[in-house]
Amino acid sequence: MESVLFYTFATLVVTTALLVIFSNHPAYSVLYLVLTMFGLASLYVMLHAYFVAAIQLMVYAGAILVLFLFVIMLLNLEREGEESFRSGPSRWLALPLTLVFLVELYTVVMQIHIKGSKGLSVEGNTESLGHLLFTQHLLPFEIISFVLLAAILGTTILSKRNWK
Amino acid sequence: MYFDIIIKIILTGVVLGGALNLAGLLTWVERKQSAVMQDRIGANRASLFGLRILGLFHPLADMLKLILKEDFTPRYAHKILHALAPFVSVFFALIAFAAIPIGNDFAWRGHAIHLQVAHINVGLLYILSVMSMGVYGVVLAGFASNNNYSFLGGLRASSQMISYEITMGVSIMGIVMMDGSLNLQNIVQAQGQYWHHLPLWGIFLQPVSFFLFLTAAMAETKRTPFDLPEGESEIIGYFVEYSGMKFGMFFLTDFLETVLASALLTTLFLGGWQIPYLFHDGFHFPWGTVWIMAQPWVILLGVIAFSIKVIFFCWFLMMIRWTLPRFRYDQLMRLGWKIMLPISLINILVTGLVMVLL
Amino acid sequence: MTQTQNDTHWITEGLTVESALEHVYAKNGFHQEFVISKDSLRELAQRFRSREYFLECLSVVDYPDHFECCYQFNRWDKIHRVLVKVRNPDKTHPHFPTLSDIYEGANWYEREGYDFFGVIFDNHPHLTRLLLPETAKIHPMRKDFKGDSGTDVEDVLALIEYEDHQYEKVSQELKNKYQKDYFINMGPQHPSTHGVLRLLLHLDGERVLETYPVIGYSHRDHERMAEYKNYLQFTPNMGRMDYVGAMSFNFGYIGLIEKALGMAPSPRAEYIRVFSTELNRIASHLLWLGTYLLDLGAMTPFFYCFDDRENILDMLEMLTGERLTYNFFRFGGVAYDVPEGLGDQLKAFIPKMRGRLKDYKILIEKNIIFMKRTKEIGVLTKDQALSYGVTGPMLRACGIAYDIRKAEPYSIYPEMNFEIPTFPGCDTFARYQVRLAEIEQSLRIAEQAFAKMPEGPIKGEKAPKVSPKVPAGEFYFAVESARGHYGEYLVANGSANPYRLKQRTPSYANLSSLSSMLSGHLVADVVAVLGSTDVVMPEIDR
Repeated sequence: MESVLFYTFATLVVTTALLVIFSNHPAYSVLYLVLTMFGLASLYVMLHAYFVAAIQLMVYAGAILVLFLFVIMLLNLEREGEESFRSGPSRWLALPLTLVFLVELYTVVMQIHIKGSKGLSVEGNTESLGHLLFTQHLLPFEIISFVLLAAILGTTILSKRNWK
Repeated sequence: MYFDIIIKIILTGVVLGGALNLAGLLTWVERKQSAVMQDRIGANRASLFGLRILGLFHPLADMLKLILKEDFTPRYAHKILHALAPFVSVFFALIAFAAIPIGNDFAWRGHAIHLQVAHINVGLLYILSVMSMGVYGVVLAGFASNNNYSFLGGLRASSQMISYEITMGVSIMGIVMMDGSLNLQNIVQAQGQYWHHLPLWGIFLQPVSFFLFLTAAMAETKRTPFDLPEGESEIIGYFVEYSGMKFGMFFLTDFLETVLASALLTTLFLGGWQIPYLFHDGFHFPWGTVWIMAQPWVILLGVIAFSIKVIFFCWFLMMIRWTLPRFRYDQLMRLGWKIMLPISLINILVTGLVMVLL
Repeated sequence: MTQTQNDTHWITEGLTVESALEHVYAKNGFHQEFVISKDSLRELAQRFRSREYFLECLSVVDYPDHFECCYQFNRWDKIHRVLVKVRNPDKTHPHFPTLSDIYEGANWYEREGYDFFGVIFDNHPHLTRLLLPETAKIHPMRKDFKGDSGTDVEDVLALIEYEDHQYEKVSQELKNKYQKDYFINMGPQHPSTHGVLRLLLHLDGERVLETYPVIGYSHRDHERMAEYKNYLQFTPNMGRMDYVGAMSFNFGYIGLIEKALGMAPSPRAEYIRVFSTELNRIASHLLWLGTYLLDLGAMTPFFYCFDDRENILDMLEMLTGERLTYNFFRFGGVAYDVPEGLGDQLKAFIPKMRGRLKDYKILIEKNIIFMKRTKEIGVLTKDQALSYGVTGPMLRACGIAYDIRKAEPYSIYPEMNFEIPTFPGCDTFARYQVRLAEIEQSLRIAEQAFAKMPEGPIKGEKAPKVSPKVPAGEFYFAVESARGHYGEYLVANGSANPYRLKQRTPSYANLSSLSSMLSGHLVADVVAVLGSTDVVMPEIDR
């Protein structure tokens, strides 16, 4: 039962991720990416990581991708970008760069040793996550919040300048 | 195993049927409520076998009309997205009901039965994320219609919903902090406590949070005074190019979201299925009277109380809708970002301080 | 009269004047008249502009041997109507200098002149068709134009047809041209444009950069109809222009003809006219209030206002037999006497309406959303109002007490005790305040007029039995309609129908000021500001 579900969702994730790249309309790409996020969230649910699944949906699918769609709608990018990607000298770089990237990916993945994936208790994983964030990883957590604050201030200033 | 599945299927049927029927009924309530407020009689013409019953057949007639109407797709629209948008809207509005507890947990023949379709420990986050997904229906409708008006509507809707989602999420953190759980069933059960015979409902513990959440929920469900994405006198709305049942689905989503917002308000702030002084074995009034009741009746009373509270909030939202004019876009954004978000952040801070100090 | 001549020496000092005339105001509505050469016109207009005269009206008249542009200048504070005429004997393509940079209100008048007569105003920024379709091939107000019934549409109107591939091509061209710009057509089928107005909005996001009102969708050329029909036959047309406040328009036309004939209606008829007109004004303001709040998104007050308006319409139906387009006035009187029971209804209605006014005030002014949506939105400064020739409640919302009922009192208004409410806000909220206060004043007038109404016949002794023949001459008569200064410029040649009857409708000038009120506002404000101008489209399109 579990493996059937896993393979279903995994296929969904991989297929839609490929469709993100291959679909020729940016709006469809974003929608496929939403489906990818759904698949990922389902995989998280199967790992009993409910919190991560919900946040995945809320932040990525519910907010960030909406903004992507927003931008695509605003710019009305209907097949305009295609030409520039497929012509010019940059396309000769595509193959070597892809190969380098794949090799890097392979080496990195091979170095990972997955350990103790069932360590978290099923009921309280939100709590334990919070606990970890506010004790062991407090400093990175706070630093990230400062980075985000800086980003917010930056965008505010940029957009203010544009208004004038 | 099979027993659980059957129970879940029945429960799903009850919750979905309840939500959909209430949404259908709300079209009638809305008409009658507006008529009462505007010195009119309201819709009362639809009749079945000569029976009119205050126009209660109008939802049926409406539905029939919408189904029989021509389903029109504009020529230069994105056909697939245009067809997909209303389904996306309704889908996310419907699945959000899964995490809402409609009654207390109980045991029956050795099986623990949760009166909650999805008994998940991040229920609140689940509802928030699903509600945030609802924006796709609107954005797609606006984009796919290839119409400047619906496009403006889609833009308005997406920015409004993203903005108010944040306030909505932050405003209820106070409740979550006090109850220490994201599971709505636990939150409701925690509201069964008493402080000198006063039920500790969310509305008493977190009044600021209640008003913030009420406002944000109204904005999230795009109802007057926050109905800018529709704004029938300005830009007509993201569904301007829809007709027939596809329009009907947007219409239905509107009412479903009203029911959802009411259910959330009830669950978080009015004690969900809790009735004051009703414990698992019957009423224990503060003045000493005790009515002992069998467990099934207590559970049933809880479900009824929940429904009544939800209907009350639906009615309340209708009242507001027919009273107020509409905000302007920049005012809406200012209210969301500059007033409500800071207040809700301060609310968290104050709640945290009080909890640490007490 | 000599005194005015001395005072107004500045008008023509140093300019080429072909002829100057002193008019008797009581007889034809003008104080002075000048015929000047084309070259002096702009200088003259600048003098008027600097002395706070507004351009009341511009009428083009097609005489057998020349075209004539008649400019009327007038003051708000002390009435002084000057008629300035410029003549051009070129009958095919007459040229005149433009005033649209001095008086912005002249822009539309000149486009209308081009549209109807083929008159070309040199250096006009945008001299295109205004009321007729862009592709029209005719100038219908020229005397040599024959609007025969057998004429093929294709002879007067070029049709634009696009095949599919052409549509793609055209839209692609437009897209490339305005790649970063966002245009939206608000109307002609839009719930908030109150009829068939089209606003072409040039947007940056939701912010309005520029507004181009496109009018003429309900154009029927009443002015041309007037030339075909005799004086009596034309009376029903008046109610078809301003269908919301039809009574004032009837008043204007009947008043004009009575003035031209030099006759007065019977005293009882005067009182009936005044109280019915004021009731109609209240109905018009109530309709405005309801629809305005509807524009702002509040639906409920709409029904309350219609409920009150219903009372008025019932009373007017008792009196006239009609509910909207009354055609109740006759030359020298009115059609019917006051029926029994109307007095009781009116007496019951007035206190009830006063109570309702208080309710409206509480309901509306205590609502923070309404206040935020209307305050400091759509500001029209005094100078802009002057430049556009804005009148009526919109002008009084700039703090200027210009009301024809006081400025050029007609009928029995001098006997009535009432005030002109003004508010200094210049914004949409001030316009709301003015209209609400005017309802109260109109109630006062209606109450007084009904109470003082004498017994007697409802038609004057000299009332014509058949359609009258107006003696040759030029006449102007203005009334205060619910939307402002409604005037008519009549050129009569002694025959049974007018030679030229120019309608100066209030909404026309008021709407032309829209684009200057809107720049920088949001789309939602477009609705709020447009609503506050209280336009009635058939009156603009005529």
